[in-house]
Amino acid sequence: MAQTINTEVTRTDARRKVTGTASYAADMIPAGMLHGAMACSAIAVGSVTSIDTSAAEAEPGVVAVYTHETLPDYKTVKGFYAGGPGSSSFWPMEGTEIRYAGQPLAYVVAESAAAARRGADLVSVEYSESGAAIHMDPEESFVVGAGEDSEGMILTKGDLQAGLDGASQTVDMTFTTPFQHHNPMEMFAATAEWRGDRLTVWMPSQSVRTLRAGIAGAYGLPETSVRVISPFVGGAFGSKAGITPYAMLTIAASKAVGAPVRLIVTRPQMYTVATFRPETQQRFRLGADAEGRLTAFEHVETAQTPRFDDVVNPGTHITRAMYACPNIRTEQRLSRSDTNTGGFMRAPNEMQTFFGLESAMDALALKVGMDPVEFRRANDTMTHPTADVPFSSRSLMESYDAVAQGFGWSERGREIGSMTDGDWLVGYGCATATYPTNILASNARVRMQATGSAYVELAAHDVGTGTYTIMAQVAAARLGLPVEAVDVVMGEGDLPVAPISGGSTTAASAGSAVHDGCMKIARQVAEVVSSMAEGPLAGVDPSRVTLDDGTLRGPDGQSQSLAEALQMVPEGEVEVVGTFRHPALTPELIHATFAGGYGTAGPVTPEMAMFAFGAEMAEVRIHRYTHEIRVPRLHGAFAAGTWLNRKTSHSQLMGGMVWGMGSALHEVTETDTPRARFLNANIAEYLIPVNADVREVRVEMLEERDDYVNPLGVKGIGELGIVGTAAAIGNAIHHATGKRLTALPFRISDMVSA
Amino acid sequence: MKNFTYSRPDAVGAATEAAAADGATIIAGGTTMVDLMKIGVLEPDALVDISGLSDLEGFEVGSDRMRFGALAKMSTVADDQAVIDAFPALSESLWKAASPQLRNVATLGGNILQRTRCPYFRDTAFAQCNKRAPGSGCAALDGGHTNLHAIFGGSSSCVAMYPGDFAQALVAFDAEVSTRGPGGTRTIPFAELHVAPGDDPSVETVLEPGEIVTGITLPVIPAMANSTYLKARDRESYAFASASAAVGLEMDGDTVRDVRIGLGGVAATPHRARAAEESLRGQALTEETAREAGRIAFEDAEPLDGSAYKIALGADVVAGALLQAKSRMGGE
Repeated sequence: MAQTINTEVTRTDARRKVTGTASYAADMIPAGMLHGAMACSAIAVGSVTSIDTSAAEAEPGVVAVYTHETLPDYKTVKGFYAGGPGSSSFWPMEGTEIRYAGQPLAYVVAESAAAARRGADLVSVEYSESGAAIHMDPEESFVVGAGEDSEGMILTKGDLQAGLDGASQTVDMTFTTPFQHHNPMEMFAATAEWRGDRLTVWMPSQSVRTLRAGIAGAYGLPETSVRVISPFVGGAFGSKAGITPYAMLTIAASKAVGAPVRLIVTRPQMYTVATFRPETQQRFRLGADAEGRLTAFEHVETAQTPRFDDVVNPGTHITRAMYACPNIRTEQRLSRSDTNTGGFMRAPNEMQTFFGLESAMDALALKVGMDPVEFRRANDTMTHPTADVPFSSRSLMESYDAVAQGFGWSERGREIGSMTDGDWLVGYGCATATYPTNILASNARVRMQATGSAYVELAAHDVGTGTYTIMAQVAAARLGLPVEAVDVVMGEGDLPVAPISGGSTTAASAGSAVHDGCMKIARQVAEVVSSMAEGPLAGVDPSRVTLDDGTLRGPDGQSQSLAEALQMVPEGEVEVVGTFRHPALTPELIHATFAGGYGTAGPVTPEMAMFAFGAEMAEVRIHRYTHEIRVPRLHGAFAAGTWLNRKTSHSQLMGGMVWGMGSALHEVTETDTPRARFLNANIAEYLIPVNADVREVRVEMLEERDDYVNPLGVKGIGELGIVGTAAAIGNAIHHATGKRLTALPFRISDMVSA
Repeated sequence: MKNFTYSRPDAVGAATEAAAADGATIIAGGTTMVDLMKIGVLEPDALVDISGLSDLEGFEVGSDRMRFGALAKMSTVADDQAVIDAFPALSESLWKAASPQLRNVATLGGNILQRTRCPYFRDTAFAQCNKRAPGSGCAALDGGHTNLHAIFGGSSSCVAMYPGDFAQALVAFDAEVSTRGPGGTRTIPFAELHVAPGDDPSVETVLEPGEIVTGITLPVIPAMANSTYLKARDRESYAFASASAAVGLEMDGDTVRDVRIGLGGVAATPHRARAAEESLRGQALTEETAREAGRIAFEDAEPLDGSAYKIALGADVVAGALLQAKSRMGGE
């Protein structure tokens, strides 16, 4: 059997996706389905003094209009940052209170989507408005749960001030990053159907288990009464993880109206009814000695949070893992403003913090007079700087060396502004990427038949990354089958427990459970064939039989193919549940995951620190007259343990880098300050890179072996590519022009000399 | 979206009559209209679809005039070799607008009448917008986000920017539009088609109810052949101009005989930089005089906090466009 891991395998669902035959959650249309639409708040803070629904109710096709006064049996769940499964701790339509612009205030059910939306337009609301601030004020910030321990929000090691005082060069730089929204192509949607006390919800989700457990809990139903179905997800990036008000409103409206209801959230509403990347401020104070070794490292991150939740996505826990330094201080702060609750957006702890860190490192390298790559080399370490445990593997400088060679880093002009091409100023920049290897418990049911087919079932998700394909690959490789012979079923809440698709965990954790299932099948088959009178493995101690990609091997060189051995099993098939329980997973963490939560271990365990690393290099051009910033070349090299599928891995990393370019040059949710409202809630004006912006993006995937992270040796890669891109581009802009830009995104307006 | 009636007349006269009714609006390619109807900014009672008036689709590039039917598609005109040869700035101004999908359906007549991208106009949750709801105020001027707003031609009622590209080539090269309305046909200088916001920014053009733009005409002048459209934008395609310039040059040896400069991304209506043009006539075109022309073009700008960068940017774009047009002459 050909090796199916670490090869390029085309997605098993590629043809269905590009021909439009893959069914997404909103494609399911239960009989008698009605349509939902939301009317949302025009003000940010205040209260509803009255709602007139008469015009909406009179609109032809409208069946019902619900408000906080009239929606019966509407349930809510606890917010994620308060330890629950919800996207927010504040639930709209429980009362008259309005706490953010775009908050749902009424829910219209109609016979057509057009009638529902028209009905929502016709809902007339009278407000009592209070003052609101959409932006945080970093001067008015606080530390959550402050404590001087490594897991807390403030950490100190050594003596920061002494490190700064003793430094040959220092930098003190403050960076800012804006609100950003995920904007998946597939809109948020939910379809609910009640049959008595049994509920089915079709909804694109990163965590069908969270949804099922949370909804069942809210309604006091056994989990077996709730089905959650999410066959494919058209992009999520963190926005489809929690239980949102639009889902619970749809479930309640369906119950109230006595018919299935489907809601497809409009694009403008997608900016207010779920989560986003909060705006942040990053302050770095770094010091280095004359040889370029860091003597002081301080990072203070201040992130926006709403009035009613503490959105802690601790970026300082990642930056402090990066470079060797005897004197380290990190602090995690929050500052409140009037928005809905933010959350996770691709590399939620890393994107904005590494923009700051890697820009500051570039500035310090320049001050010390070192090449930026050599400056990183001088500070590389195989031991986690604050946890004092070794990295399970770390190929940072291998990544730099690989990317530098392909990119032609050695041709970089030494002086600022020394490279030009016609009317373009040219600059080269580099930055480090890293992403933690998060570990979650997972199960997977695996069944292999003597006829040569296998089935894999688990409550994992394909959020567009190729999970169906890589799960099939793992089983195919272990069982000695072609990938096409493995049928993978995912995306339903009643399947065996698998992790939330967040934190780049699915391939590593769920994949390891599939791997374990295959090993268990081999053991069961070995027991049967070893007890038989005849056959290659007859009489062998079954505990000494190993599985070598489809072949059972005895201790003395005996062997038999697994498929052939399966013929000896009376049932002609074996079905098992594979499990993955990393030693770092405590009983509490395992319990949390099985209860529908996020019981993650790592990246730092008592024994090891687990991270994937990479390096990115950008060539940037700035036009002399238009001041346009363009990126003709973006190269990255990454090492992340085993590559399960070189094609989908490449796509993940490349997609991350392209998104990183968007963070650098395009993406920002603009705001109206006086009225505390997001402004560009559409994808014409919320800029993301178009094809014309994405020229040469090259991804190099290095070999790396890591036996500690999991049996497959896999580190998550879904978020790695975006980390560092913005800094690489910003550093290249500095190299081209001498301008150090400290606020994302970098725009023409930043480049024009005043 | 509000319900509406829909008709598709097959003659200009019938279309004019239908469109003159109260609450009626003309739709052609629909790329602006449908968008604004979906978000509740426009709520017509009746749509009069003129896309069936195939007589208005043609265009011709003659030796002394070029004429474009109002229903010619942006992409068709942009790709036409005769247009590219005779008037590159016109082709480029169409090419650099919108996306391929939009250019394939959007018409020239609709393009010149496109509505502003001011976020306060486009989001009905903002109570203040004099353009959308006359007399309600201006959220942009009331402390709003003004990076996208006009630095020329705004008023105390409205600072919304005219977003188009094609119009800058038309205004700088003396285009005229022909129309047909209930009162018959007329010809309007393009520079007089749009009206400054003044006290009532809801009125954007001099067109009467039911009056349909039927065509666009330009006199062929030597500066067209050496023309260019330079557009500064934050991404390489499908973005509105931070600043742009449609520029054409006619040289007499080293001396500028005629020059045309239209400015995009900076003004409330299509904008011609006449003083900058004047500064160059009879002068040599050098980096220095080009930059001076750029400076003059923005002398009278009245920026808001957010749009102040457009002054320096616009000046550089004018200079860059002039030098680009000059460098093209070498290849003739």
